[in-house]
Amino acid sequence: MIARGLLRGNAGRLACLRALHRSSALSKAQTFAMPAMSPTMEKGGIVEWKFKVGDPFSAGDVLLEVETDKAQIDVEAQDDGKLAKIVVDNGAKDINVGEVIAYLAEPEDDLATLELPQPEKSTGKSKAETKSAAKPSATAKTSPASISQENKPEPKKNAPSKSSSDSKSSTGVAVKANPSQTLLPSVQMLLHVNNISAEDALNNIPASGPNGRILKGDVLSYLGKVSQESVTKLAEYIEKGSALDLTNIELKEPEPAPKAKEEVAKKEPVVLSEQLHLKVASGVTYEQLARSLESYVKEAKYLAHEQPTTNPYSEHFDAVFEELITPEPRAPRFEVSYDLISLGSSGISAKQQDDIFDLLAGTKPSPAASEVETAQPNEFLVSVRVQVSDKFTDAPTKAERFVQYLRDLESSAEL
Amino acid sequence: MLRMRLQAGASRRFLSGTSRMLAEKKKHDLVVVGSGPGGYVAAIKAAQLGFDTACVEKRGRAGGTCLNVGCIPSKALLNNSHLYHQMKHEAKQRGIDISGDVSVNVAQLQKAKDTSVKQLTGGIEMLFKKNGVTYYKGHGSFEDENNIKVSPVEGVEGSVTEETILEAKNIIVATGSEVTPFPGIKIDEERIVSSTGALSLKEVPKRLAIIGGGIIGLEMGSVYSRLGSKVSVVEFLPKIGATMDDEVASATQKFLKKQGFDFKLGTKVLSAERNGDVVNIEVENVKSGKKESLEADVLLVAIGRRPYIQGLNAEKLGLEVDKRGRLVIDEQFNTKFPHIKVIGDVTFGPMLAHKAEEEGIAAVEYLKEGHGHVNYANIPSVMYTHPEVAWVGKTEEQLKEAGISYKIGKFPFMANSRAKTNQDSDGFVKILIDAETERILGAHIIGPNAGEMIAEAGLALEYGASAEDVARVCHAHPTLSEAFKEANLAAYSKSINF
Repeated sequence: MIARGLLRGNAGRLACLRALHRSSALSKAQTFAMPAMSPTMEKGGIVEWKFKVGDPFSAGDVLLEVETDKAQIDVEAQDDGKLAKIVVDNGAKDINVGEVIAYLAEPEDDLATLELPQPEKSTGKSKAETKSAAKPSATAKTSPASISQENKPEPKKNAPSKSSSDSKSSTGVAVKANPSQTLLPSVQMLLHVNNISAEDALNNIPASGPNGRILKGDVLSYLGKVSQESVTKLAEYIEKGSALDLTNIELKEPEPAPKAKEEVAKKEPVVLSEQLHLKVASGVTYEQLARSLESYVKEAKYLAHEQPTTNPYSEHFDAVFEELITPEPRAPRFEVSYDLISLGSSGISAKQQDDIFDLLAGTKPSPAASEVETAQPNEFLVSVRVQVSDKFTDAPTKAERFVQYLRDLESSAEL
Repeated sequence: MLRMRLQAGASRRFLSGTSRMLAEKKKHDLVVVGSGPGGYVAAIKAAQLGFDTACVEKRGRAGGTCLNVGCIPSKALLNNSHLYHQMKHEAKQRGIDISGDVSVNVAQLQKAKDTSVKQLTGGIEMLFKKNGVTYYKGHGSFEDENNIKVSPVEGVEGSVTEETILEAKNIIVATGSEVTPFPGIKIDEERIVSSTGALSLKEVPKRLAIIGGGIIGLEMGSVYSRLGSKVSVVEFLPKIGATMDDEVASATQKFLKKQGFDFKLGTKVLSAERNGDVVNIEVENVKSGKKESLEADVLLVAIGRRPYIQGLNAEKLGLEVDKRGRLVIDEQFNTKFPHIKVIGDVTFGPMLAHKAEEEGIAAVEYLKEGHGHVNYANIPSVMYTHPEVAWVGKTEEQLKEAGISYKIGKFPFMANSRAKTNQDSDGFVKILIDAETERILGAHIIGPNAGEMIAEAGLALEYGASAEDVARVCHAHPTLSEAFKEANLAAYSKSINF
């Protein structure tokens, strides 16, 4: 964990340094070599350049027409850019594949100050081997099929400070080789060529691969052909990517109260009012009924919102999709207020019931009810006002549904 | 006695029998919310490891976006539209004469797709049974940090009939993602569609416009382009293919252009509106500011997906959510409650089915063993266009950014015998290796069967192989995989057949 933290710190510093390097390395033109348009093509001619020096082109534009012994072929640009200089002009014939025919620049480069790279010495063997403009040692092979190749590895002078990377190489990345591994073919080959036995290798070569696996790079480093530092750095780089980046998480800010919305369209609010007549057992107090009514109203409100407004039995109904297309599915569609008014004599009872249906059902003669004193049922009036939101198209339906739930209550009271 | 009877009567009074007054309570060791590739894999693995496991799904059919409205149905359409295109345009040249017309039957095409989807989603329910996972169809949400409430969902066959509370020792949230809407554009899934609607168009649109040149847009574009649509892709970025290597992205663009795609890159969509049976789209070039009007019969909005936590009550519980709507986790997928883990699209990392699967396994292993493993540096991506595009590991751009010096090995399918005999030789394999140690850092394939071939690259990366290690493995001849071997050969030495 500590090692990882350190690594991240370094990565941050590196990024800053890199940014500096990048800006200075910007204005260098890239070579554009005669492309191989077929596996057998060795030479080609230039029929016509389709762009003038300085004119910008986009990726996919035809840059020039090339002529081989078989056909004339369009060559397309791989990236946005512009022609910095044309080296070989229209009509030239028998140009070797890989020979520089032009220099390309980035679209934003200034051609006046642009630095053209030194002409490459033709290596003869590999046709289109371009060396990085930024750093000669970092060779990048490009296959002949590639037309223009931007390949500028950043200089890696700014590697993590020695102390930190060294301490890690001894403890973290490179470990004692796992003795039970099957050696990789590349490793076997290298060991054989250098007369190292498999046993010696497992004992002596620090392994940077997963689970103590000796990699080709480890052997090369052991042989002194590549530096230990580059093995370490690479292993660290790969290790870093193997975990989710959970740094710099920006939490969502708590949602501000939706003020702006209220200002939008204040139309005449639609209000549904309903009067319900409830009869309950005499044993039920006003408070009891009020409490249970409150919870029922809450319940009905929730359900009225929850049910979909479209036909859920339809073949085309998809609950997920419904929810997706419902604007603010959790926002209330209506507000409810009500008054509970007692009409009859108030009863006195200690019976503890809080389910409203029990209270209402108590009007029916039942063994439970007979335990309580049999008296005249109390009568209550519930006056309900439902203010329907004008912001949602499904609000009236849902409000109406809510009112229906309340009517259910009344009808149950009349059982 | 009586009280119970009365209460039952009470709950019946609600139309659907939905009532919070009567909540059944069940206990499980682990409850997984969501049955997508992350959730169902986690549930099965957990059951295999001995946990009493439940999985909650509100869609009813298991499999999540991937199986129902994502990867699987799109592949059915891609494969069959490709066959059609080949028969129509290549049969003659390949020596197959077809008497009569080759034509598309969209209804049957859709039916074939639905059949595959049904079989696969049904297969998950069978796997649940086989492994002893209790499957609750209903809407899962947090009641509190130890209880998941499953509410009935209307219209879902087999949905729980009443609210059920699942008391869970551990909870894995795998609620996935949903289509990101484009601000100001109303998706009606008829003329203006998301990927979901694009999978079930009833006819082939003459002109299909797509906002977003990512994988989803290009795959759906390919389907309809093959079936005869004129496809235009509008992408804000100057390149297509999301996180693809730049060189591969521009090669892809070239191939798709040849197939008739029209690309408007670096272009911003200003508005889109349905007018009867057409959609009018206003776009603007980001650089030049030039405005343009497009008209299409169908507009596909495919600008990405966003985490889906609606109705989960996660925020009420105090689970942290980041600015992009992702649930915040630590390295072991834990939220602020150590027994609540989050995996897949709804949290960090690439939104890919196979990434969620890996996390599902790892999360369960953390519960069981205290240790799990997902190698995020080795998650392949595949785009099932033709040619296919697949990649894993680092791109050239990432290596440049990190200051790693690298070498490239490339091998074109034009020089691969099997590709030649198949008359399907567009594309190349590109291998990126460390310049000094020659360890493989990335593999980028555009060409036939790239999606299958990328598995070999994944294996090589996982074991820290160098290019030479792959090149020294015997590959069957003649196969497309030889191109992969040759590209590795080219990376550290020279290819033989090119």
